[in-house]
Amino acid sequence: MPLLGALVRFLGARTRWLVGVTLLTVLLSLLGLVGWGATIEDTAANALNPVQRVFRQAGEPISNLLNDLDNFGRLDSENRALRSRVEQLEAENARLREEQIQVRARQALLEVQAETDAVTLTAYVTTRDLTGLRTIIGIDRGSNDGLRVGLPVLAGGGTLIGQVIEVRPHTAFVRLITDPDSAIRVFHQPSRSEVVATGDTLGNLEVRIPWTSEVELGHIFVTSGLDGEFPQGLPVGRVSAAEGTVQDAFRHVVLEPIAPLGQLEQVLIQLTIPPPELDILEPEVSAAGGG
Amino acid sequence: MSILRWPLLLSGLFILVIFQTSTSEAFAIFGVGPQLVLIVLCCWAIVRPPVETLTMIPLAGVGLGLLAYQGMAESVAALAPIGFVALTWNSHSESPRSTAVAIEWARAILLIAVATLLHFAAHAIAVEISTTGVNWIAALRTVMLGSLLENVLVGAVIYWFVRIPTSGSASLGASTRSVSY
Repeated sequence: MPLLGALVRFLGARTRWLVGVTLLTVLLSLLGLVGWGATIEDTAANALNPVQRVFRQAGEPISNLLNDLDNFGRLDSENRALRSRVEQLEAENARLREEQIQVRARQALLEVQAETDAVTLTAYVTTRDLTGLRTIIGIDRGSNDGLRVGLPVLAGGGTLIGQVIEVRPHTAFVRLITDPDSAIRVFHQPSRSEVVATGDTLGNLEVRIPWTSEVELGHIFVTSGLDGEFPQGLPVGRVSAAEGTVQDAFRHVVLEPIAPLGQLEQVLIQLTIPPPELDILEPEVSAAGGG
Repeated sequence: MSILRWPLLLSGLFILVIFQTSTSEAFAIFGVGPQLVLIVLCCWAIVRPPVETLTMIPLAGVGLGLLAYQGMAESVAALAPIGFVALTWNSHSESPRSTAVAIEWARAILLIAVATLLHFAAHAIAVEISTTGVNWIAALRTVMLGSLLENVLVGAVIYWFVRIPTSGSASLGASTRSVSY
């Protein structure tokens, strides 16, 4: 003990504090590695969800004020209502177009069974990644509610917003489609070219699509469903920019998410994923160059 | 005040952590929400005795880790540079008690800026290690620059909310500050 005391006196305050914090960080890392960290975090998040919701509601007027200022005086409530309406209409439009394409390919497919058969669950968004480097949200549903890793998560308008990546008993985390680690197989709706849409740090998605597919601003990309992870035909994003020259093998296309990912309050988790209708896609996919 | 100091501090910190994890995104001006915990800790490090800030830093890290995605270890590690900078700063700034408030305010803003950069670096390294990697150009342009501007702007105001109520006997004055605790 005298040796320890001498050591503590020998080390300066800064060193002692740094050593203490480093030990704490190592301890917390170990807790995370053995799985206890997630349990503790889940318990805390579950217990504090109601408090967080109260805070979120309390902060809403200030948030609205900032939004109003940001929009040069336009009323935020009107803006939100219009955005929601636009999202719904675009989702509806995309769905209708999707149905139309499917009807052309095969008359028997007049209805999208996926939407009627799917079992869904609503959840509140409780938290977000605070670093700005990941696009991940926390929700107040977990494995006790039937959630499992990989389930698709939708916005109110029926557009895809992400995928469950981590499940705890009472809470779960969802990687949004704009996260740099997100990769979704999507169809360019008009051409049926299948490509992979990845997130970027700027809040958009990126795809590289063959020049044979004629991409225009506003075109919608929907999930292909061929990866088995997402239902087929969910709107993902609309084209906001397209770059590249004909000398390039692929055109670089930027997609803007259809759902307002920054304003999510409630989300829909789809618990069942119907298999994709492969047969209706094959002719057009091959005609478009196979993605 | 001495009896109530720690309960008040911890309660305030708890509320701050809940506030940041719940509503921070709603206050985004430059695309990212202000890091209120970081800002307040920086202001606290300038205005109050170091022992308070150094105690609050690991607690704030654990609190943020409990309620946000990044986890406790990453959060503590990301906030630790504030303590290091604050301690280093205090050990080299034994200025007279009459330090002008304007100078102190500028120091708080400078500390917020430095801490924001170190905080970003710590999280970016963690993300780089744990994921497929960081798009550094985009991250620097949007996240780091946005955070820096927002934290400095918000911090310039928050400083006064920390400074004015805590300008009693326990606060400030280089003579009352001590590096050891």
